[in-house]
Amino acid sequence: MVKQVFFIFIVCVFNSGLVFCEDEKIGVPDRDDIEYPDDDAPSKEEVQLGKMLYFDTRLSLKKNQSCATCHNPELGFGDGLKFSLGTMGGKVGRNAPHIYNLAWNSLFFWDGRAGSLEEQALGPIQAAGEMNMPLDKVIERLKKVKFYRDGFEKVYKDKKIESKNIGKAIAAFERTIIVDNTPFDKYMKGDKDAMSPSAVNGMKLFKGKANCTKCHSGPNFTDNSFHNIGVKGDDIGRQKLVKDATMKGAFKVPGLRNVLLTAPYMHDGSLSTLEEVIKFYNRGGDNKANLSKEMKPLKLTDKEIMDLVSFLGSLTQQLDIKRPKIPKDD
Amino acid sequence: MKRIINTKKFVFFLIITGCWFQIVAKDVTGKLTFTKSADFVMLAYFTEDHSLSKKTVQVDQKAKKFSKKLVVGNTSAEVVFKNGDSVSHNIFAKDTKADVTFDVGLMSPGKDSKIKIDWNKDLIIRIGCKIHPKMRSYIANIDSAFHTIVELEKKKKEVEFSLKDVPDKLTKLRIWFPKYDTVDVEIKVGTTSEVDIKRNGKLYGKILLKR
Ligand SMILES: [Cu+2]
Repeated sequence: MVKQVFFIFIVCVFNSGLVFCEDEKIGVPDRDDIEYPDDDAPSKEEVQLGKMLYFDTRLSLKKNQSCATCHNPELGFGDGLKFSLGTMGGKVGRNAPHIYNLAWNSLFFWDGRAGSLEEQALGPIQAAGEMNMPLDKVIERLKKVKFYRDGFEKVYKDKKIESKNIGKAIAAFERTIIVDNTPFDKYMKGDKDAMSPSAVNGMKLFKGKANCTKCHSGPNFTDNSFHNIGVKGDDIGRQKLVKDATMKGAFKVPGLRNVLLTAPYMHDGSLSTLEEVIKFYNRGGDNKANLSKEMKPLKLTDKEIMDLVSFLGSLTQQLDIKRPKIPKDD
Repeated sequence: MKRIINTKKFVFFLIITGCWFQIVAKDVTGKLTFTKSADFVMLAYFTEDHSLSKKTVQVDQKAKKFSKKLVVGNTSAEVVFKNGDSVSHNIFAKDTKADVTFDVGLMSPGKDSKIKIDWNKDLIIRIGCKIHPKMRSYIANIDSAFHTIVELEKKKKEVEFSLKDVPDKLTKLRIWFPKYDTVDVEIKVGTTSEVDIKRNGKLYGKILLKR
């Protein structure tokens, strides 16, 4: 009897601990946790339609860029550049963020100005410095293509090629870009040989001494928060939307799945390697003005820096995204 | 022989149901069934009662979450926010519908701050954190002592709840969700009622009530 009570007590303590630490934990993402608009996963046809739009250069004014130009599957869904180029040839103000595991994400863009992937998808199409394409012009172009006429009619109740549905389709495709079978995930599921000893030690540091999980927590290694981490420059970031001193120079914490493939790093693409990034955090950032309270020098050794880079490498999984054949006008 | 057993069973059944009625006679029980994923939280309260009087209500923050999904208090009650977390938070409200705006500023771990419930009765406001936009909780200004708060989990589509020892004269029950339409329903002693959970005219579930 005493034993039983003790057992129940232990179970309770253990469980309550789990509940409290839930969000701090890193782990394998649960596909059942994805919040689809109106709770329904998109149909195959909608994803296919969105994929075609994603790769179609009709979406930029000069027909020289698609979403995949700056969010290129072969370049970690980035473009390898510090700043992307727009359709007119000029540079975009921030580094192109990757799009891995955005299905679990809540706010979009570096400053979080879009509240849904549907809304986000339409932003760069219209932005003058990016694809510079008014939506009514996009619609006009898409209407000339049988694939789109049939596709929108089949997928959407209102059967219309309109901006709302364009956003929906692209978002539906983007939510299928999922990284959840990396060496780290295999390790978490019990295959203790999936990660190198260095990476395993890096994981301990990630959660401990290096303080990374203060923000890079949860199955996608982000808590979706906004912090000023001390990158030099005068971009006010989140403060443009949230008029608060703490939000000056604060940017969204990006997820770290496939981070190895998404160089260069930071909102301004100012760091080119993961080693540089860890060293940046190790010295507690470069610009101390308005620095987040979670930032402090870490005193990591060279070996520990190496282990952290190894761990970040264990979050890598190459996705096989086949480029679709873009249909001609007909 | 068979008949005797059945009679025994019947007597047993009578005893059981008799007990059940005695226990729950003053209780109102309900069952939520969501057709898609469940909402975040539910608040049910009898609107005719005004006997609630709270001085303070507490909301803590741990692991980048509010410790409670919804708290209730009557007008002029104080809400004390704690930061029992290892990271800083910044609680704010910007509820245009209820016309409530406040910002308690940056709270380091271990710090606390407070606000007063000074908005209109029956209004429920959303609070969040400026640093962690995924954090949310609700504060309801109600003065009914006969209320229940049920924290819901997305994947748990069927949830039972109860309001204990409700006086017979109270019959007007209000059920509130963050995402779905508020339901007002009359439930008298000895009756059952089934109401829909809706949003934009679309059905998302049912509530079965028994008294
Ligand atoms: Cu917070």
